[in-house]
Amino acid sequence: MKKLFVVLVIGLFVFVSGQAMAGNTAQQTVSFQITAINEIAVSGNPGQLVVNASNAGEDPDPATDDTTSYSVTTNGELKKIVGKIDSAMPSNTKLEAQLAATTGGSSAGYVELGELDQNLVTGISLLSESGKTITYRFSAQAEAGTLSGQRTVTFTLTDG
Amino acid sequence: MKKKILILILFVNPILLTIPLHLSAENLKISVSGSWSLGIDQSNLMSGGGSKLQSTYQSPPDATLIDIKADKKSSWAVYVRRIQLPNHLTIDVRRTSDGRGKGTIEGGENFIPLGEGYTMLFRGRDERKDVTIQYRIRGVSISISPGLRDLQIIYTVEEDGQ
Repeated sequence: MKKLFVVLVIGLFVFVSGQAMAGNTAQQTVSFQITAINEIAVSGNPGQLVVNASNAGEDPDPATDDTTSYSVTTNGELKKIVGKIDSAMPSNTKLEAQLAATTGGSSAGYVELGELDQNLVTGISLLSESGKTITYRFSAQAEAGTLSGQRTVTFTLTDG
Repeated sequence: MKKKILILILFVNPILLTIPLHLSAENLKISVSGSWSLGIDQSNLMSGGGSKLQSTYQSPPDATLIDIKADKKSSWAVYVRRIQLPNHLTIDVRRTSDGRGKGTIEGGENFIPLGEGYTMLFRGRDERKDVTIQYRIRGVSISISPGLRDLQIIYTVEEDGQ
């Protein structure tokens, strides 16, 4: 009788422990997609750039404005900011823009704006920054005479 | 005679003990349905260019439906884990309903962060159907490169000793 009891106990042990980890499994996939994000914004319009009369024999001093700023967000790498104006400047005048560099990026300094895109800041990667200063400089030679006008400046964040 | 009885028991005993236990394991099943696809783009920036990406996203409360098929009165527990996840991201999961069925269910109402090892999500007895599950992803930032990523979530049901 003792032998029978031992056999029963061993049998129970072996098969219970064999089932202890038994179970059933199911798998699910959660998909998660981030699209390319390349956003740039400016804080508003600069004040009027006025070049006044100069001393006799000299060109007038340029007018500058640094009251505006830009903000940029990108999850891309090695992006750049380019800029252009909607129509050419009058003869003997030029409009330049200088954008402060982003962290890790490089500013090209003052760049004369034309109807074709010009590099302003390069090497922009994986960041979101705001309040980066934009400085405009308008200069005119005496030969430009008296004039006034308005230009729209377009900044674009694009592949470097 | 005793020898014959002993031999008979040696062969029959495992079979007798195994039948109910195997039936129990076979009748304890989990099935999972539903899905969640999360898309993140510039509209998820907190305030346009220069701002950060919203870092936390929640699925609908019924992104996943879980059915547990079990024997009457058998107790079970559902465990969950994840397989792969990009750096700095955390995925949480919680139970948002009791589902329906004869059995009982408890636990898992609060978000639980998933790791590579199994964590118990909820437990119960008997059958439950359409138990709803919600996901939450945390830690999304602009430093994560664009692309499609699949997060594998593994559910398993085990007999519950408690």
